[in-house]
Amino acid sequence: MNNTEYLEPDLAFVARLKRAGGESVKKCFQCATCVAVCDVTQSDRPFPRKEMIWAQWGLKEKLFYNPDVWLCHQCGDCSTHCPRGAKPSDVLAAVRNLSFIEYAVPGFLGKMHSSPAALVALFALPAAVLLLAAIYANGLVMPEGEIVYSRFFPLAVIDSIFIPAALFALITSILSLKKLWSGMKRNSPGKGDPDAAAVFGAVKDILLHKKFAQCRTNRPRYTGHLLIFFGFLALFATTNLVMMYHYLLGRETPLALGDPVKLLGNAGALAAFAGVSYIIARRLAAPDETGKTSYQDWTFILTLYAAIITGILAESARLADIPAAAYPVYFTHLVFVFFLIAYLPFSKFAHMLYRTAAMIYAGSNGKNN
Amino acid sequence: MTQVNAPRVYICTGCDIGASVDVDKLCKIPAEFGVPQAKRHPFLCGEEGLQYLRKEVAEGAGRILIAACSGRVYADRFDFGKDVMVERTALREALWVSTPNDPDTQLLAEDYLKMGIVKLQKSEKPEPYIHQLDDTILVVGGGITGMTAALAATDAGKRVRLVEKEAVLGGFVRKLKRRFPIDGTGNPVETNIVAMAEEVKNHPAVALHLSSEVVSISGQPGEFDVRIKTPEGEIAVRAGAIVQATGFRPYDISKLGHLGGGTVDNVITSARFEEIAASGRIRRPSDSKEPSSVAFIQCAGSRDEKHLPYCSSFCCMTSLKQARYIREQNPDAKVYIFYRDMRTPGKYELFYKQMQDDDGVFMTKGDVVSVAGVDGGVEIVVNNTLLGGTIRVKADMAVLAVGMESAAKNGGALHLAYRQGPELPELNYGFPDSHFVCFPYETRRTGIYAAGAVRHPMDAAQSETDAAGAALKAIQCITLAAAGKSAHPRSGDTSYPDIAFERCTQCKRCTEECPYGMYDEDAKGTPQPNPLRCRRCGTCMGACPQRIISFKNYSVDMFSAMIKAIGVPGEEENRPRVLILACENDSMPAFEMAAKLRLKLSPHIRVIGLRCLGSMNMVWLNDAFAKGLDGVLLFGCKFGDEYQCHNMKGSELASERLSKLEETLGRMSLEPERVRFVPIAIDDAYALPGIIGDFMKVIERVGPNPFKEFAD
Repeated sequence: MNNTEYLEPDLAFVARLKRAGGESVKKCFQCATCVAVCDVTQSDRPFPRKEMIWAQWGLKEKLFYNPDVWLCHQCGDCSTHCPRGAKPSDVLAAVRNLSFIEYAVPGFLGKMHSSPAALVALFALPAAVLLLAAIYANGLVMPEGEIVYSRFFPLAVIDSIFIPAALFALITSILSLKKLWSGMKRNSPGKGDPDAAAVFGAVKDILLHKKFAQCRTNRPRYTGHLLIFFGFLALFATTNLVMMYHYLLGRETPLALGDPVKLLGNAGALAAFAGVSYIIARRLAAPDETGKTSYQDWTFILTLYAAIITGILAESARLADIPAAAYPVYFTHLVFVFFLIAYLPFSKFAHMLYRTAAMIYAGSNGKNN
Repeated sequence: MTQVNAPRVYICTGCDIGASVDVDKLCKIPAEFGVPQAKRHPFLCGEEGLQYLRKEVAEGAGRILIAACSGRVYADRFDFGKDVMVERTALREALWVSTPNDPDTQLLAEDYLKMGIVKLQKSEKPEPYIHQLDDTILVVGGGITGMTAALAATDAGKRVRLVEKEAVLGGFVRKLKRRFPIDGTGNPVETNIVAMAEEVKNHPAVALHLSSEVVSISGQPGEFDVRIKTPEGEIAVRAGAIVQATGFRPYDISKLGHLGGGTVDNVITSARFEEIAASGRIRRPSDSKEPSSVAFIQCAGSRDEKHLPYCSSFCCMTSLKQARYIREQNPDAKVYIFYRDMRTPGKYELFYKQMQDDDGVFMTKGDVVSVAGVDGGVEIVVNNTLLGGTIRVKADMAVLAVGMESAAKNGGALHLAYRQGPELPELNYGFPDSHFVCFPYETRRTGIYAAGAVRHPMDAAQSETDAAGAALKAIQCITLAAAGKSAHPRSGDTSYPDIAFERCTQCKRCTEECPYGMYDEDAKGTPQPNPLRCRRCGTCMGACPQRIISFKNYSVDMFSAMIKAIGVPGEEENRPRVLILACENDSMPAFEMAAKLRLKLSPHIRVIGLRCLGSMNMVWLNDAFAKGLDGVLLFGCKFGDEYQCHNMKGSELASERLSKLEETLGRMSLEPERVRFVPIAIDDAYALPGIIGDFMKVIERVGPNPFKEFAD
């Protein structure tokens, strides 16, 4: 560190970190058992021992803008072997939870996502927007006859809500990522610019879930995350393909069950459902192995679960031809989807941004992640 | 020699003895010394054997040589009352290390028997030195150690005289705000020192002298003459034993200039910090501001060759406790603890854990390079931190957790009127310990026991335990002295040195070399023995060039005669003879362990046990070589800084004497290699065959002692 700079511990941050799920942080006595069992650690970066003492001292800048924190997959091995019960993996998870707030642009959205009191407001926005849209599109009257959701919400209405939401998410994501990136440059000297090999390496790693596969204590999460990841990727592709069908081919929803895009979407939904179910079950059944589940964790995973379930239910109700169930469920589904997309950089969903960025940063700066 | 005093020899044939040698031949050996033929028994230590011996005693056997097992076993079984002298020859162990029924083994057994007979012939029954003694315990120092010792002694029924230089009792602990918890229950605890002081003050068996100091101490256990300067004037009193509990001094902060000691107002010792905390709100010295950040520098001058090379063991807990004070005073305050290692063993760890949990306590390992005054506060630079590299931290004040120096360092408390000096001899680092591992409380002044931080760095809780231990040692010493018996390590020995003064040349060797300062001197340098200070190690006997110091049952003449009793075969027989003089404390047990392990040793060695190698008189080497023995091995304890000698200096003195041996050997035209000192520890049994084998090769190389031919 700079020789003329005084180190100033931040008591308030320590308290905040403890509240965010890192209450065991002060138990660490720096024996470095965690370093010995961690795959992220490097000879010149004793991870997570050093992060633990930074956390004890409340050195938030060092914690927030440090790629290693994001290279951690919270496999839980450090907590399993910690002789002091300091649970480094929980502390790092708490650091990441606070990081979502720290990086968030605009900041208030980050804060809202960590506050249970704001949850209603966060859901109220999509609910209100969609309600107004429904009033505008159909006067809140469910269409007669065969259930066709685009008759309830014409695609143009959907797009006029969700495309701006996605754009908002994109712009705020870029701004938040910039904050992280420049912080990492400030704190860990290196050239700082991403290189192609690092990008390629990161993508490969993500697709293969290589790091997840190395987890020992929480090995089952590898399976769960893989299902969710590819299920979600399939659903994302489906959404885009449906748009292509509409705008390029003029093919409208609902697609036939045998349509390749429909097959892809349904497979994705089932995979994601299975994955989230498994993860939730694990978190409930084996909290010692999964680590502590924070408010942000629950909000994200339950929203995701709700979006998937309402999606599946909406399709089922449509196929069963029960309009009274189908349209309200569809409406609810859209609320959850909006929540996931529009708030992406502020919820735990943002981990995919920051983790990827950190992997690229570390890779670009000669650090083998 | 009357019939009653004539030695009688009994050979046990159990434990393989009978099967290893020709016992009939052995039985005839005593006749060579004018002693009746030896009697044999298959199982002397059994009830039948013991009854047989008792019957022999009843029929007039007053001096008995039991040639069986080592004297270190079954001493109680072979005790036939104070009027019967018993000598033991360790035939069993000698045979266990030898080849059974070998001609060399037979010669070895015969020699041991001969030495045993001669030893018994030369022994007299010691008469205990018994005086009318005082059994008061003088406690010097009225801190927690002294008070605990005083109360422990009174609990055991002794009277105590306590001398404290301050006007109040309580010492260092009285200045504490609180004591750190010793049982891991959490909070620092009340000292309760005032209640303890009241108890001591009001105790009917305690004579208390406050604002007083010891002016001089002379005499010996059971009859120490103590002069005490009290506010009312000087008084003379008697004491039976003394506990020195004068505590410690915090290391001088001004020697720690690089840490701001003595130069920066807001850098103080933990002792000073404690006083500030005990007096009310904690304020820093420079401007009386209540600090919102305090840095503790652990190991300030400790574990540092330039200052105190040791750990004082209490500083880590003290700083954790003081961190608590600050955090209690101001919940927003920041406390830094820079340590080299946190040392909080046992249940202390629980308090460490608790303080770790405090959000406002920031700890890191690191090397504190400097503490300097900056902007009214202090700036601390720490290298090699766990946070990564060097850090600089600002705080309102810094506390140097300095270690303990013994209050006995450089003297000043006892003023002993002893020939060897006024204070307890120091061991390491100025602490007056006799041996820091083996013999707690013991000092090199018999009857004076050091307890608490004066003898070893320790905290208050340890000092309390220490005090009780020292009080018991003091009582033990008084009890032994009253019966004319030695204190540790030859506890119970009633012999003591007799001096043939008419031949004394006032050379002062005995008065200088006695490890316990037993001898005083008159103006001419004549030794003035204080027998109750004696620990019976025989160092004076070994030192005396005139050979005029002897014990009734341990003398220069006795060992000369034993050495001369060893049979020396002619040169043509190729049976070298090596004498081993071995310390009874470590080397002899090592031999016995080798025997139990059935290790094989050369049959040409003859081992004689000594009370301490310090009692070795050089004339024995002359005797050995004049007799025609080919070499001498001296087995004693390791000496030097990490010495193992039970009498501190014995083996060292013996090896010093050896350095003057070459001249003697030269005069006799003998090679210096024929004599070797080997440090032996009690667990060296497995090394013995190698050590002895090597020496036998040396003897083979240098050849037989040419004096063999002239020996009788």
